Amino acid sequence: MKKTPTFLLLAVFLAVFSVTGEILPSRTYSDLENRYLAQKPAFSLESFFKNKFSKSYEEYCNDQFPARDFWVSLKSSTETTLGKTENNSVVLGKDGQLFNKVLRLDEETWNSHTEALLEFAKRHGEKLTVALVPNSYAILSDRLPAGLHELDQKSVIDSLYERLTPFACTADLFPTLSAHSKEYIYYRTDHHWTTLGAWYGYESLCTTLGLTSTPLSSWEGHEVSDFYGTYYSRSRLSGAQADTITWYDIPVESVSCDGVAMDGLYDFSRFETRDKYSAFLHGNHGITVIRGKNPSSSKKLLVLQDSFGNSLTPYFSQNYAEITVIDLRHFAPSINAFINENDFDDILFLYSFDGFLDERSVLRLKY
Amino acid sequence: MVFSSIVFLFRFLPITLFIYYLCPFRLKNAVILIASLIFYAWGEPWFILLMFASILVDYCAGLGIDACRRHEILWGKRAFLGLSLVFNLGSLCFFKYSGFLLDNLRTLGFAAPVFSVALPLGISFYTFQTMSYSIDVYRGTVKAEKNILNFVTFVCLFPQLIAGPIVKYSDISEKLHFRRVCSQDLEEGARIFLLGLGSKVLLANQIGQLWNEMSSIGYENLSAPLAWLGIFAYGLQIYFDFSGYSLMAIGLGRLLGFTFPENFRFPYASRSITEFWRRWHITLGSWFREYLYIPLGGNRLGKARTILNLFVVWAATGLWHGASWNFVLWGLFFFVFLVLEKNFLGEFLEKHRIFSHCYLVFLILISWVLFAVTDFSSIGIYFSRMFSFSVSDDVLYYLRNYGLILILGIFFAVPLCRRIGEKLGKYPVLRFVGMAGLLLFSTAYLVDATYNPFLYFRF
Repeated sequence: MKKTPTFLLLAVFLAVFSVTGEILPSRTYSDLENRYLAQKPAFSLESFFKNKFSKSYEEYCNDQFPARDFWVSLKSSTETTLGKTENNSVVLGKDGQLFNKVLRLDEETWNSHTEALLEFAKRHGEKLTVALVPNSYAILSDRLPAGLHELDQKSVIDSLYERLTPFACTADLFPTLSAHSKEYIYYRTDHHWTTLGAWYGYESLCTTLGLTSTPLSSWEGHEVSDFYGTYYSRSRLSGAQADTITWYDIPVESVSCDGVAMDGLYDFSRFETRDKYSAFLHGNHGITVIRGKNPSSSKKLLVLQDSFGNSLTPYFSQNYAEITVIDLRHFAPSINAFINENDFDDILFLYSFDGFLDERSVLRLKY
Repeated sequence: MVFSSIVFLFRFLPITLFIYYLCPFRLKNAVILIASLIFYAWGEPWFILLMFASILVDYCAGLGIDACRRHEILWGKRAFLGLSLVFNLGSLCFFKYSGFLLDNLRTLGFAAPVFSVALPLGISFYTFQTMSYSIDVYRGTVKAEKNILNFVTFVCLFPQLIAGPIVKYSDISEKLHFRRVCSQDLEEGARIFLLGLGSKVLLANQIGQLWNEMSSIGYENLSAPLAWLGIFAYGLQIYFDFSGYSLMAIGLGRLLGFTFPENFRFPYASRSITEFWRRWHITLGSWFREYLYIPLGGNRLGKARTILNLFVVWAATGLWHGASWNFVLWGLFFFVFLVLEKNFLGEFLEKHRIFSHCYLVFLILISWVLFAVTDFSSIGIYFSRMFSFSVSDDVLYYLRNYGLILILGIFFAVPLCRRIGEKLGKYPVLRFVGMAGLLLFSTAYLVDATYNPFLYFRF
């Protein structure tokens, strides 16, 4: 015992964690990391020789390691102690603001996505308005850590708009959002904009579309505190501050998601979970239809959007009689056929910059 | 499988050691063999056949050489040695270099086809290992192994199977036939293994992320200070990566009762390139000296021939690290400075202590650019950024994020850390706490591993 303390330490530690790792029941979901965990793979000679088994078994061992949350937290607090202000490509800026770390444009992806959008604009140009929402790092640049040179979103978006202008209308959201950059327009721990930021976006879009915007003060606001968003789940950086979500009582006639009638604009049960943002428009669905109460016109709007739109689109229920929201990630039919079959007055393409770049489903615009 | 993974540490290793310690000695080699085959086949099931072929050829060659010696058939001895060399070098060339060769022929205008084949795991290591065996048997410095189980165990021995150190048959032949694992082996083995694990997981992987940043920023966008910081990080990463892996191998060997040769001895504390290569990847350096440089005549055939011999050895050393011209250039870079040091620079360096340290660090950093960046135009860009005098605040961000871990890295790369470690190690409690810390933090970093490459894996 006295002669071999290190060996005994190693042996007992390895033995305890390997045995408990095998016999403890597997968890399906990690709240801390906001993702599903790998499960034990079935062994077959075929999967072994194709190298599939070894890969998924290793993932299983890592994901189902006993007390995984403890180890994950130990690592992140060690990293903070060592002065790290980033993890998993999320960067901690000033005032507890988390940012996505994007240093360079992935030209190949960007080009293929812009080509798809251009093709789409050539087909439906006269009705189409394109709005790319800048992500927080482009607007809250004074809160970025010193020496970090993020990608210049403005010039990239500008060059896209230049190519789109002959065919479609474009909405530049930089001036409005920059003017309000001192306000709470982006969540600190999540990649989305707040309902306030979305309202400024809405106001700016109303100008582009020739509509009258409804002021925020016309609805009652409610607060949900203790929100830790996607940037936090990805990085778990200590020093991040919890967010507060404000939602507004916007009256609507009806809301349906993928053909199922819903009760109102929000799924309140989601406010109780970690993934609070998915309360807006009941999360992401292939097709969502919102009918407004006492709208100022009888026009119909189609919005093609990523989840940034979930906090903006409801504001339009005061301006349009019917709003159809499509999330291409969950929408299987041909989008062009769908537009031709339905008679929309306006089409809005509303994506965040990072979302437009990361979502492969943007390519479905071609079909 | 790699040592620094949850599946190795918490499945493979405990099961293997448990069975190994319980079974009687006559079964121990068989246990190692089965464990090693699982270890190798995990993630690379098919190439095990190639390894078996190589083992079989060398086993027969050894016996053949031995038999011919007894019957004094000189040509037979040569033929068996030739068989071993041709098979090993042939498979190495086919799997590692044929694609590269054809690419070059195409560049020269020949109609050579495009050829690419996956590199069998550890081929560069085990072919060198088995070749050294046949050569040693030919030279008469070791006896041919009669027991095929012992011979297979020697080649497949999992601690050194895929990334060295390059263990020669003579290093462990005695232990292959009989060994006893004493409590000192267990304790030292565990300690060396944990030091290696910590080097790899806590230092190499973390510092390596800084080097990775360089390519995600884009070499052309780096400021001069950041370009230097980046290659400095790479230098520390590759050292801790490789020396850590060697330490883990040596520690595991000890746990099984074997003693493997040392592979790294604080290379960055060297004062000349000559000294550096006596401290860096020692088993590879001595392999080339023993089986290439000296057979070519070494330094006994006059100055010009010595230089030619050095040229051949260093071009080969470079090429061994990868089938690409930048590795050849990297090897020849050392050749140039070794020749200079042999002829006049050596004495000067000997006299000037501080200068010689700066000289070494500067040259090694330059050499790592040649090593880390594989295409020539990118190498050019990287050098132009290093010597560009362009200043920007970008380096501040990376110093803030990596400053402390780099300081830790520097501390553990110089002999000072050994002296301090030895002093503190006199207190058993402190030592125990240190080892427990290594184990705990390494586990945490492995469970949440976002970045865990292994640089020498493919050589």
